[in-house]
Amino acid sequence: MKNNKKIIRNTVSVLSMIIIAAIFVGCFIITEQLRTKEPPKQQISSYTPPINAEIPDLFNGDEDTPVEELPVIVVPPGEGTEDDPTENVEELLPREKYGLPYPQKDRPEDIQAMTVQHTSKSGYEYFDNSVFLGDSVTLGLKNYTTKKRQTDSYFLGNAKFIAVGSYSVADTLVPVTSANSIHSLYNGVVTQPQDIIADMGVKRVFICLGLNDVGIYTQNEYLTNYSILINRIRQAVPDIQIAILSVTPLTVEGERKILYNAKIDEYNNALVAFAQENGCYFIDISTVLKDELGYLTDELSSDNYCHLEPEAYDAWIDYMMHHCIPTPEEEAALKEANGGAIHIDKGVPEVEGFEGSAGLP
Amino acid sequence: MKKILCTVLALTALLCCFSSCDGNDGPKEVNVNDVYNEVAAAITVPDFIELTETDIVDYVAVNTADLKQIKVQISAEAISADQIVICEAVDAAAADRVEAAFTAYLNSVKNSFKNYLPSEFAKMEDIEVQKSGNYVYYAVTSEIDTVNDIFDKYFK
Repeated sequence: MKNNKKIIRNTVSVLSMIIIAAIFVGCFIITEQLRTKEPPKQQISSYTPPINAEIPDLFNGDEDTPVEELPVIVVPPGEGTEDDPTENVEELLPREKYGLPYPQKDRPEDIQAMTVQHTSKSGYEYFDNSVFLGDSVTLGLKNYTTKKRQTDSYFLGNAKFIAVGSYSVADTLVPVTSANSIHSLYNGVVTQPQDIIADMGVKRVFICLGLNDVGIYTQNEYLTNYSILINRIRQAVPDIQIAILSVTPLTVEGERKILYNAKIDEYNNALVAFAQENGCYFIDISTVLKDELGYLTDELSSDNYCHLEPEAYDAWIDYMMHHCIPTPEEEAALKEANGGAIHIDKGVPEVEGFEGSAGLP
Repeated sequence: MKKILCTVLALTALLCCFSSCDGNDGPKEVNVNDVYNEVAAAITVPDFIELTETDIVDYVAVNTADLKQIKVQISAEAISADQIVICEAVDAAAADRVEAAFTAYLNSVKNSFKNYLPSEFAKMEDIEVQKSGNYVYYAVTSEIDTVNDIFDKYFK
């Protein structure tokens, strides 16, 4: 009996020791897991595009009506949608499938005459103190320039970039606090382009925006938005030179039901007239990107849609270096010779639905 | 026997206590190029451009004085979100700043892809900037599991 009690007592003691040791081991395991705890998830602002929002008619009487936030309707590229032509590419081209008109290879002469004409070739210093503002196509130019500058530090001068994939003219107008904002980061802060341009201290801006507008907005809406963007840039930097670059083309298989080359051509033609009306230059870079039928040359496209190979950027830059806008001094002389305008007036063709705005003050 | 068992258990408990109290100073010295080279050998690397300390400031609001080592590769294609970022900051405070800078950059890229290219956004939706000691790193790739295994080997 006495021995049994002793055995039981010893067993209980041993079991207690084991339990205590197990508790310590368990604490150790929990501590290790806590040490590798995942950080809290970062909050990303949600994006809710407005549906069927009406575009305000700015020219309905009061032209001084300030424009508040314009609704932004984003239509993503046709990935897996019924508009995606790639499912039927082996059967019909998009032009055939949707009955799209043929694009133009060359702009009408009277419109072409209003674009920046051929000049002698400049050096990279031409791009000093300038900024390119655009979408993913311009982002590709930025990345290409970054790579080139690793072996040629003065490639494209000291040109800067404000480029956001999917950026549209409409997007540039959205307030930074909006859930729809996709503005670029500048010094780590989401900033509207005109404020970035002002802080950069550049003298010249090359704008290449439209691929993400043409499929969504009418010509009038697109040009209205463009007018607002230009006015905001000029308010931020009054003496800045503004050059508008043509909206770049699509490959023959990259056309969509709502976004196709003939439509881009129409918008570009209207944009040329808009540029002249608004004291801007128009540099027709699409000229060197098109094949003989007016499509983005297949060899120049990186995705058989709208994005460009490095060779396309070489052609783009070379075109710009052969189609230079005047220096501020030359521009001043031009204005004096042409009664305040920077273009020789060859007449502005009528553009349906676009009422334009005053030229240079 | 009982005394021996008690002694062993007490030592075990003591060992666990000291192990739990040991602070995490982060990984030992890591060469970020070694990490990247191992990643590049393990996955299909797209057309990347490498951002040097000179280039990085055009993309990310990071103070280069905070950086001791940097290996940043982003896709040359504007429509691809692929990127590999491995940095060592000069100290813990700098690591916090570098982490914040890349977090803002990553969120900005996510925002631009979210409604534009859903397939690219899906690749990066759950990706977050990681920090271990003075090392800040993350990757956006369709082979994220492979890359994370390599990151864990060096940084965890």
